[in-house]
Amino acid sequence: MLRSAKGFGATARSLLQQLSWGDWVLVTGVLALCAGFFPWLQSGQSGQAAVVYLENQVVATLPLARETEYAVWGPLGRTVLQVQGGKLRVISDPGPQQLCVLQGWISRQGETLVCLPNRVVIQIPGTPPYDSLVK
Amino acid sequence: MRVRRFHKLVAAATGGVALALVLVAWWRPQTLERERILMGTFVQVKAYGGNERELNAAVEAAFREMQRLEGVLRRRGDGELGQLNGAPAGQAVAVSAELFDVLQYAERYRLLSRGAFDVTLGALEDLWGFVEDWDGLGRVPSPAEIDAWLAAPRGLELDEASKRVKRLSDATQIDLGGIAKGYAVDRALEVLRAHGVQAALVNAGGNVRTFGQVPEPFAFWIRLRPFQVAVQHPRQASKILGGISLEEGQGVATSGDYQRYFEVAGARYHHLFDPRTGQPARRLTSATVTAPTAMEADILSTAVFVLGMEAGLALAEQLPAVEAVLVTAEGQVLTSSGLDSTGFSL
Repeated sequence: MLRSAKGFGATARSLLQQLSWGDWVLVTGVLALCAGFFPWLQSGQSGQAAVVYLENQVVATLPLARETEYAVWGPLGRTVLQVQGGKLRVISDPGPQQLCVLQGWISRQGETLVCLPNRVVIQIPGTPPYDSLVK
Repeated sequence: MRVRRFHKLVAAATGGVALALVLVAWWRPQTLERERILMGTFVQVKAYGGNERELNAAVEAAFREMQRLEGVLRRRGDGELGQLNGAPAGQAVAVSAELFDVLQYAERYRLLSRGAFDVTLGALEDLWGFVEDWDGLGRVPSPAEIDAWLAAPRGLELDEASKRVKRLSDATQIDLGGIAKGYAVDRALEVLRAHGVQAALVNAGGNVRTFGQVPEPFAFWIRLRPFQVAVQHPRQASKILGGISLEEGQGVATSGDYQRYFEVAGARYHHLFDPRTGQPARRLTSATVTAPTAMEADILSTAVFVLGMEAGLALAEQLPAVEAVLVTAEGQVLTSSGLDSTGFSL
């Protein structure tokens, strides 16, 4: 049997009145917890490591939290990377212009070092505040 | 009994809402980003929409197209342009429609920029040591060598009906370094679009073009926003000069004296030559141009760089849907009048 809208509203009201304050705290708490986690869930995983590519292939993933030096051999010779204090830089490269050495440290998501002549690319995955960089 | 059922109902509704919140937060549009070294530079492709397999196929097809064009547009070798450069001067050579198009655009912009943009500088680049697959070593030619190059007649003759191209002299060596990457970016975007990608960005060594808008999670739904491109500071590699919010389908490119250069006795010699002097253009350190296509942005960034402040800005102002950001040798930043509308912020 179909219940009238008025009848349904009255029933719902009467049932809601039967919820204790504890029920309301629980319902509100669960929803608030979900809403609170919402931005965190949306932000995705933060990139805490740098990915090293040689000739377009991944050759290493270097956690930025672990201080280290890492060498990768490209067609021109050895490119040496240094990880220190959550940042990464190229400390030596056989490229003639040394552009990737001169660029200095990278630490933010989406930042990239390109040692083009030696075909080495280092990237910190993640979302930078822009979609691309013209340089 | 009735109350107990109602409690179950409330619990189920609360759980449902909580689950929906978590799913909405976790769900994000499918995105694929790939980088590759192609055309002697770092190429980045970003694609949005569809599923991962489809995006992967689209991005790989875009890279293949750029690789094919790299062969066609290389100055030397067995490719189409290599053959044209190797053919005897004065001989009309039949070329593909796409190479003809590129050369026709180059010629159009040579006239428009009053010679500041010129694709027949191959022999001059050789004099300075800027060859393809440059090893970073350059040389400063003698004034006599520069004078001899300036005195030699150069030019192309294009016959649209037969798609034939004639180099008018041996000194006319075609180098498409100021247009090829932009052209390849445009073609790669067409491939991505043909594969059904909803939005994409291609960046080949600072030559960027996009289509569509970036889908991103926002509160409880997905919003679309324009692509944002940052412009690097010409003297501080880790610093951003400003940002540009690209309009639908717009291209952007930067030409700078820091991209390919060598130094002799403290003086910087770079690869962007003024065809009227045979010397590297000195008025600016970088020129960033937005234009309707990546190819036009590529061409115009070179032309504006060579022309310098006044003439460069005048060229940008003269053309519809073209804007420019210039950095002078003294570090001053100048923008064309319409840049506010594209959202450039310093």
